[in-house]
Amino acid sequence: MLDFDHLVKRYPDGYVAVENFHLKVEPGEFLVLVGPSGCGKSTTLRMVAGLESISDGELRIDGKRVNEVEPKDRDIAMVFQNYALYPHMNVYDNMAFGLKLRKFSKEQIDVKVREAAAILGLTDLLDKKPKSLSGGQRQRVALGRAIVRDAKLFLMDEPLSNLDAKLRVQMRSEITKLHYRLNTTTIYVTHDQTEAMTMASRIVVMKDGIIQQIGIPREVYDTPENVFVGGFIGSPAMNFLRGNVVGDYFEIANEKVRIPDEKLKILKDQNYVNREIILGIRPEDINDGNKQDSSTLVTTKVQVSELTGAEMIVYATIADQQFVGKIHADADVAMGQELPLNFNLAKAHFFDPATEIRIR
Amino acid sequence: MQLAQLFPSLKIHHIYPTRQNFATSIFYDSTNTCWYEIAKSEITVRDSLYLKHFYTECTEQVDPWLLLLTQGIVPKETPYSSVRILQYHAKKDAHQLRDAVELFFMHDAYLLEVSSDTFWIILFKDYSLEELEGFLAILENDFYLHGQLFIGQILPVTEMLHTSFKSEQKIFQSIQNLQYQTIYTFTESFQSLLPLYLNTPIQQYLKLTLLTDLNEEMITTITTLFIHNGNMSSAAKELHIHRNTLLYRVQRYSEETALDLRRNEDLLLAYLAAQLQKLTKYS
Ligand SMILES: Nc1ncnc2c1ncn2[C@@H]1O[C@H](COP(=O)(O)OP(=O)(O)OP(=O)(O)O)[C@@H](O)[C@H]1O
Ligand SMILES: [Mg+2]
Repeated sequence: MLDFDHLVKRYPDGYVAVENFHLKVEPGEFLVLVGPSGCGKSTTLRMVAGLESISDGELRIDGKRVNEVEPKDRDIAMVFQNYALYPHMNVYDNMAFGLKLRKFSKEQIDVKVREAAAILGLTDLLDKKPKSLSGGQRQRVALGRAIVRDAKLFLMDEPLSNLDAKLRVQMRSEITKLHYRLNTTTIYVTHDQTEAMTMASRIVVMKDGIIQQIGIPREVYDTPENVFVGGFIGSPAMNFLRGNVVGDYFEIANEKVRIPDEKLKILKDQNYVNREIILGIRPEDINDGNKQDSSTLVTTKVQVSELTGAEMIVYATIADQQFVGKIHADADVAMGQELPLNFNLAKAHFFDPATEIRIR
Repeated sequence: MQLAQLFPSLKIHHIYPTRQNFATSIFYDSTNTCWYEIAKSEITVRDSLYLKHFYTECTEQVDPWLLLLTQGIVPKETPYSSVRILQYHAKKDAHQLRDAVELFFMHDAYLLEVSSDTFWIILFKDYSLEELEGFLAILENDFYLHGQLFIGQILPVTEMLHTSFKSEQKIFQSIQNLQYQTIYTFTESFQSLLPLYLNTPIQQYLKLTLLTDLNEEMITTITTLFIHNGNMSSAAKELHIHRNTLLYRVQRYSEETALDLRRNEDLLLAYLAAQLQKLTKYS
């Protein structure tokens, strides 16, 4: 439905904000672009909207090149972080405005506005002005303005970032439900990995204008392509520990963990034996569960622990390298204490220290 | 004279009136060689048609707002004691801007076209920051206009207005060159630019004492902490790190610099130093 064919955005000052963006978006997809501030997410979205010109490459909608098509002719509806609402118009007129511009009849407009209002729970608020609405309601009206258009494509740029944390979670699921109901192809931009993980049918992780990985949330979480993706997706973040492959073991100073056979074979095949590598392991794979198997047990030093309710998050070190683990809530740990922890390497990854790419 | 009965505000000038009030219209009577100045509020659409039929409306005068904003010439009577000025830099053809301003602000704003890509929007009523940011979204969403908006402070209408406005223009220019955004507020820009306004000895001092070449991560950490008023939890959330990780960074920084980022005055200093490093890196 939407083809990004090696898109490039070079700003007039020479800065390359997006490099070689290549991706096919399937109809009905909810694609989330995620990455840190300044990585080029908005720029990518604005090229689709036609608000920024495309420096290189081709953008196609339904197979047709749209690089030169005027924004108003692209049949795209947008929702931004800042709500595009007219302060002097009531909710009804705000939602109707885009349709009036497009010369729909009064009757058509009425049907569409009331339908969208019903979906968004705005029916009782239609004659209210934006000022008298809550933040969440205003956000809903902004969504309503996009929905009534029946556009081919929705673009959303951090639409929830002006809401407080609680409302954000609520609106997140409302947008997901909305998408389930309308099934309009959507590109959603956020810097919040939780939003990406919970809403996306597919995630595109970006950094410095370059796509780092594309995949369904599970793939991106379970098999990150590189250290950046591993560290960016997931909270608390993936731990990275530097150590050496010695024999069948991954060694950090005096501590060592047995490497599962399958992973060991890869490391051997790729000549990583007796070299330094980076271990990437998620906090939930470091725990106090299995105390029997000494080959995965490591002695660590506790710095801080924090009870979150169901579990305890422990901040500890191995030879001055810091990491986070998740242990039983009833564990009794004290600051500075030595604590044996089980490292479940079956779900961990190894990365090349120079390229930071996952070894496979 | 009948006109005076119709329009109580009528003033008759026998020389061309050089200074026009914001709220008046001026008509030239060629039979009597004089100018009538009448309050706009007293002129209905119908009146206007009659007046224009009998007299010539003088519209080619220099815009009084332009005189006020560039030369500090305050009109004799002005209904506004304070205004907020938005500066808009268009990146594309902006001929639709007038429609957008009228729809969005109704009668609360006046649009000055300074050049083909520079526009000043004078606001008479107060709009919230959220509403003003929404204005830019409207420009993009409904009018497909693309540009940058600078939101000034509320300024009193006096003969000093043009001086304050000139400062806002300068700040807009500097911040634009420093970091690209589509929307800037005065307060936010001021905060980003502040380190540049420190005098040389202080800049040097900060560089020598606090900048043991901070890495990007530490700069972001300090900046975020500062923006969150030193609140660890909310800063950690924004940074996507655990509160303890943030605490760890704060401790590490304190070991190197003896600054405790949990104290306001220390945080301010660290912030200025970090910004300074960021700014000098780019230039
Ligand atoms: N018109 C422009 N001219 C020059 N540089 C620009 C312009 N617009 C954006 N940039 C720069 O391009 C980079 C990418 O910007 P973009 O807005 O796409 O990032 P983003 O991923 O959306 O970030 P954020 O999460 O902060 O919104 C930034 O470094 C930004 O400063
Ligand atoms: Mg953005």
